Amino acid sequence: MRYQSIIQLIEIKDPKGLEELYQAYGSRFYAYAVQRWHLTEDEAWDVVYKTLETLVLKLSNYQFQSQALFEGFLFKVLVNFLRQHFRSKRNSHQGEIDFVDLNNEREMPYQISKQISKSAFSDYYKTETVENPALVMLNEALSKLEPHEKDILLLRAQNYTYDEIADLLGIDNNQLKVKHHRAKQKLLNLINESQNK
Amino acid sequence: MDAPKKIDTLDEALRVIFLESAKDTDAAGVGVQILLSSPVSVNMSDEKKALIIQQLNAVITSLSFGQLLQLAMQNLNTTDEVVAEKSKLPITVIADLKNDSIYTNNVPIVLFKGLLTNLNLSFKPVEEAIRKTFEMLQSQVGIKSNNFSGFSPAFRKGYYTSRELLSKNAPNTDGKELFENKEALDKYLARLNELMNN
Repeated sequence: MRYQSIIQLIEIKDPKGLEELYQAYGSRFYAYAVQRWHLTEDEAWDVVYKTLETLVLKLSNYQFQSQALFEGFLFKVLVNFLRQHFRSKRNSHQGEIDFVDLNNEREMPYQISKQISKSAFSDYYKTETVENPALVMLNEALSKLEPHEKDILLLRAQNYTYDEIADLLGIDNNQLKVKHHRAKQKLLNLINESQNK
Repeated sequence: MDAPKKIDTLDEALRVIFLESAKDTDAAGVGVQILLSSPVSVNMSDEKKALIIQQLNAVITSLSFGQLLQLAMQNLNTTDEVVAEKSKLPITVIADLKNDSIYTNNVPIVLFKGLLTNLNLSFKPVEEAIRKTFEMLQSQVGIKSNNFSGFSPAFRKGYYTSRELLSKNAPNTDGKELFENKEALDKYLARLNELMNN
C-alpha cells in the first residue's frame, strides 16, 4: 500500500515520504497541468506545490481508508488549484479571447456559440458562477449521452489526443475522430431539442 | 497557459463542466485514475523538484501553534485548566488552540500575550507556528465541498463504487471571517511583537 507508506513517512517527518509523494503523484500532476491545461512550467510548479502542501498540512485531519480515497482527495485538491488558475488566467486575458465554433461546418447546424454567450464564461471566470442557464442546459444534455461519448468529449476538451483517449478508455481508435464529431453533434442536437420544447 | 486567440465555445464549456464536476468525490475518483494512467512526456527539472521537496520538508518539520502549545504545556507539566485560569481564556479556547481548530488571531491579543508569557514562549517560534496554523486552516477552506447541484459527475460514475466524503474537522471560527486573512494575521503578529518585545 504505497499511500499508507507515504502517509506514515510524512507523519514521522521523514523526507523520504515527500520523495515518494512527488514520484507517485507530483510528477504526474505536473505533466497533467502542462500537457492538458497548457500551464507554463512555473505555473504548473506552483499548482503542484500547493496541492502537495495542502495534503501535507491536512494529513492529521483525515483518515484515508483506502488508496482510492487518498487519490480522489488529492485529485480534488489539484483540480481546485487548477480551477483557480484557469479562472484567473482566463479572466485576465478575456479581451484577447474570441469564442468561436471551430466545428462550424455544414453538418453542424446548431452552433453552440448561439446558446452559450460570452457572459456565461465571463461570470464563471470572475465569480465561479455556474448557474448560467446555458451551462446548466449543456450539462443536462451531456448527461443524456452514452458514457463513452461523454468521456470522449470531456477528454478531448482537456487536450488528450485521440490515441490517448483510445488507450485510456480501452476502445478502438478506429474513427475516434468521427465518433468525437458525432458526439458533439448529438450533444448540440439535444441542446437544440431542449430549447425548442 | 497562453491565452489562445480563438477558443472553441463548446470545448471551453466542457472544460468548465469538467472543473466543476471534479468537486464530486465519485468524479474525482474516476478523474484521478485516468490521470494516473495517462502517458507522461513532460518532467519537472531536477532543480525544481528539489525545491518542491525542500519547501515541503520545511512545512512538515515546522510546528503548528497547537503543537507548540502542547509541547510548552508538557514541558511545564501543566493542564488546560491551569493555563485557562492563568491566562483568563476560556478552557474551550485553550482546547481549540491545541487542536489548531481556530485562527490564533481570533483570540484577544492581550490575553493571548498573557498566555504566551505564562508558558515562557518567545515571539519568533510563536510567529512561525501561528503562520503554519494559519496555512493549515486556510487549506481547509480551500477545499471545502462546494458542489453545484446542476453538475453531476461527468465521467463514468457507474464504473466505480460510491465514496463518501471523508470526515473532517472544519475550522471553528465562530464566524469571525474578518480575521481570517493574511493581512489581518500580519497586523496581529506585528502588534503581538510590539507587546512582547517592548
